[in-house]
Amino acid sequence: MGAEFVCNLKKYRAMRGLTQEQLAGMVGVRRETIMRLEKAQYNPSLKLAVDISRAVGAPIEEIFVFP
Amino acid sequence: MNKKQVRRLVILWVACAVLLAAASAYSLLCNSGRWVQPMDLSRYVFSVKDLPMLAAGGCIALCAVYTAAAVIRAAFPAKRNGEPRYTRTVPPVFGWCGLLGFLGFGGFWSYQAQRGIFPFIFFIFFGFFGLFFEGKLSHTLRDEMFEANRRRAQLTAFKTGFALLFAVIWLVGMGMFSRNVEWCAIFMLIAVSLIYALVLFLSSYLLYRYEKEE
Repeated sequence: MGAEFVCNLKKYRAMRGLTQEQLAGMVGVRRETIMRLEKAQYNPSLKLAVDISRAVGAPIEEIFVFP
Repeated sequence: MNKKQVRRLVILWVACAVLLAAASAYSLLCNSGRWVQPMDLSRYVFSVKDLPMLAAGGCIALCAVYTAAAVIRAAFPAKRNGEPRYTRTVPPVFGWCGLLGFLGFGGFWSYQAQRGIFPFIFFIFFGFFGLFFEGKLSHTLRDEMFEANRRRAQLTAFKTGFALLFAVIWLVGMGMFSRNVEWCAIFMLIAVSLIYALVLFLSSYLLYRYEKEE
């Protein structure tokens, strides 16, 4: 769905010591959504990308890398 | 419903009552009591003097619709932004209600026996098979991925429905059953009912597929 991209969310989430469930709760989505994001199978909205960026404490452009 | 809305409704209904009283008085004094006293509507002929009573009736009907809408809106308030929203809880066994769609075949019997084609619309109930998949997604958080999948599923279902509807219209337009208008009506009724059922079913089924990546 949407443009192809590389997602480094799993790395930054692990660095923060968060589980998928915890991160999902922090940004108000389901664990399945985080799982699809980490597999780069779902292209998030700008709001969700910003929320995730704040939650894991990393810049958006490093989490979601578009070629 | 807050006080302001209740006051507005009361004012509306009082205005309607005043309008109806004035129209009734006019009808009794100047229009032989038409639309006030019992009348045979099968032999009704419009007269300009009926307009006040018809206008009063129209206003009352509009007020009734407005009141119903206000009550429904008050009973089911919109969710606030940011509040978690979940899908409704539906037991998957409700999907078996789709079997009611087979009642549609009763239309062939009723057409033979009484020339009635009403039972054909029961084919719509085949769409209830979708409740099986909706039930499996009960109480799911409707986050942005869920909403995106829901829109995608509905779009695919609507496109399929419109394509089939176009095919049916094309077939009928090209003269299918053109020698028998009754058969044409039956074909259209069955086709539209089945397409409606298919769209209902596909919306739920495709959403389940997209959610579960099957």
